[in-house]
Amino acid sequence: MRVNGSLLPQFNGKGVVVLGKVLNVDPNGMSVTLRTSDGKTINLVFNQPLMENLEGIVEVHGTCSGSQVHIESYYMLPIDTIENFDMDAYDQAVQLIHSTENAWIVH
Amino acid sequence: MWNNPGGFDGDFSGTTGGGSGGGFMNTTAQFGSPAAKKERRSQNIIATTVKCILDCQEESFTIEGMEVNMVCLVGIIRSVDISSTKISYTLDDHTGVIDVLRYPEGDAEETNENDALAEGVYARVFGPVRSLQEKRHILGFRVVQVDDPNMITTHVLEVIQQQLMLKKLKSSGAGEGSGPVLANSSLLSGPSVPGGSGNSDKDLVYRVIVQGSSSESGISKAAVKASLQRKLAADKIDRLMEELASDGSIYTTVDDEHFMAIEST
Repeated sequence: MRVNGSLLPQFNGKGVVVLGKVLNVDPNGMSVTLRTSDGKTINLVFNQPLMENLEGIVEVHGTCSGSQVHIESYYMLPIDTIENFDMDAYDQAVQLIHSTENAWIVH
Repeated sequence: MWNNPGGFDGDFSGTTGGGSGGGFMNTTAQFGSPAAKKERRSQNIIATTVKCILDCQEESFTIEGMEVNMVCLVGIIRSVDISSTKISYTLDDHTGVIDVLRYPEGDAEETNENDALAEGVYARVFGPVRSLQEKRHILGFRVVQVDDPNMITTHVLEVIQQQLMLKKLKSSGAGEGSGPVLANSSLLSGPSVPGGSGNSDKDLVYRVIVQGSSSESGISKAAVKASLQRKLAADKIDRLMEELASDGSIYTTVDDEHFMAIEST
């Protein structure tokens, strides 16, 4: 389920989708710091070293484990779309998903 | 009595003009009113999630009791399988995974490899839900790559909005409150209205339209005729509606068949 930084702790052990800005990529390529759509900073852990240089905005899919997310797959937003991307609107959409019962809620 | 078919028109992208939500039109067809069209299948497109499609227990895909003709999905292409007869994608929207099948277009005998999308990109899929051997898939009438990531946000919101809209329609349809429009009940309501003075036929027609104006796309001509079938002839209603339109009391909305009154209930 789509979450932001504030919601992440509620999903420990569950599958999550997080979208945010890449702040820092660890030299070993196994870990990345991400600033989520609501401005929180979280750690992403990959099970294999990254094959490409992750930068800009990325949407990651994986499992939440405490304050980290173990990443299974990701989608890097095309560089030229970053400027136009409305992060605030996205965050509001995420909050909306969690405010009421709807089709995006996966129990 | 007559359901108000105008209540559903035009609310969803891709609804074909004049084809009111199929479920509503059916009652009119049965009574053979002069304006009735043949019973037609629902023609609608609803933005939804893979989970919704796979979870639905009904034989034909429905959401909140509404039969859905086509869906709009947005998700990541996880796999692409190109054969000469078809292109088969797996679409993952994080609520589930579903197959999307694409067949050669028009006269083409074989699929065009160059048309296929790459794995790992976001795509938007439009098409009907079909079943094959108990398993549901989508016929990808239109499969296009999502270039603007704001589309992700938009789709999230569209799904929620349409789901809530359908829920609301379902609950208001079940209750008797806002549904039927009765000519005699409107006669008893309020002071004279812009449509005309007193209880003239023109006034009758006008009041029916006012009642129907509570929906976003107003009321269809067919619905007005259906409501007044016993009181006024269809061609008389046509004439009166033309007069009301040139008076400026009513105006067309989504197409030439739908009208709204300048005054709403």
